Amino acid sequence: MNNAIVVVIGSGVATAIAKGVGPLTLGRRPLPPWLDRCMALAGPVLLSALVATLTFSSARHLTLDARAAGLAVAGGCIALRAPLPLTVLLAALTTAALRMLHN
Amino acid sequence: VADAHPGDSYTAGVRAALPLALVVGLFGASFGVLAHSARLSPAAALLMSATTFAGSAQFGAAAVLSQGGGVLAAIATVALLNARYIPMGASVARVLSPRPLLRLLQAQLVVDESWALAHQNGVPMGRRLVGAGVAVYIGWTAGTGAGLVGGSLLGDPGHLGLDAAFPALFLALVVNQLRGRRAIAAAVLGAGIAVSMVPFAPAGVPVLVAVMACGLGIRR
Repeated sequence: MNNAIVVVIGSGVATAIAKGVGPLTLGRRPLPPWLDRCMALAGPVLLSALVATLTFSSARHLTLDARAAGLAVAGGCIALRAPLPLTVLLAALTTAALRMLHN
Repeated sequence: VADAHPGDSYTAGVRAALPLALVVGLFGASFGVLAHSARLSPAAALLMSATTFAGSAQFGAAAVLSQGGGVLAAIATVALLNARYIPMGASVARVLSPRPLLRLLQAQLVVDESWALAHQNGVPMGRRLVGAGVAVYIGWTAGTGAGLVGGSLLGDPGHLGLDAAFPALFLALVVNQLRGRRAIAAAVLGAGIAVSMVPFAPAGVPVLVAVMACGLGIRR
């Protein structure tokens, strides 16, 4: 079997297990209250961790670049209650414009 | 999906995800372009998008392969980058179908974007998740196909600032979920843990370690 196919199958299986293990083992039973409270924090925790790493890191380095400016613009849009698509668009445009100026 | 809440519908999920599915499609296209340098055949690249369906992990695997990394290193990269889907999948378990096979299939539609959009007022909704997941899935696989065919027409999505689109989206979504002091504390702690882990752990691990911040929920 060709190496690429092994990678594709291995990746698919690893991902399917990661995504499926919770739903298959937890069932639809209600969780104990403490675990329920922890799960309720999964949204804020994972989303903010994604925001932080997607904005301030490249591989294993902490970075401060045009993405941070895009995020700041997004923060301003959110504070002004701008619609979501506009918020995302302005963040991307800010980052793209800064990169263009920089190069 | 049982126990539908008001506002929980497939179409609402699709509608919420549409603009995003386009951006995801552009990233899918750049994966299609990159696949070539990773020595993945077009068929393998398309199959990977259709079965792994996880952007950052696929880019990670492609990067490892194009740098001459081995099969095991590529698969380990995918496993690490996607380990966050364990807690994400667990947190939506309650709102998926009661039938095991269908549950497993629905769980495969969990990606950062669909999972985030599935929440309304901090509560996950099953139909929204499935609708958003299908829209993003179509964007990702169709984009990969377009990238394989269109080759290098697109260039680097970074030039369009598209890599800044995802943190902006997630910031908007997390703000909606910050209800109460505990949620805010957990979000700040989670971001702090993730950032401080960056220099010490391979990509994917920082976000996974940040899940520790959910422990703030243990105390009543």
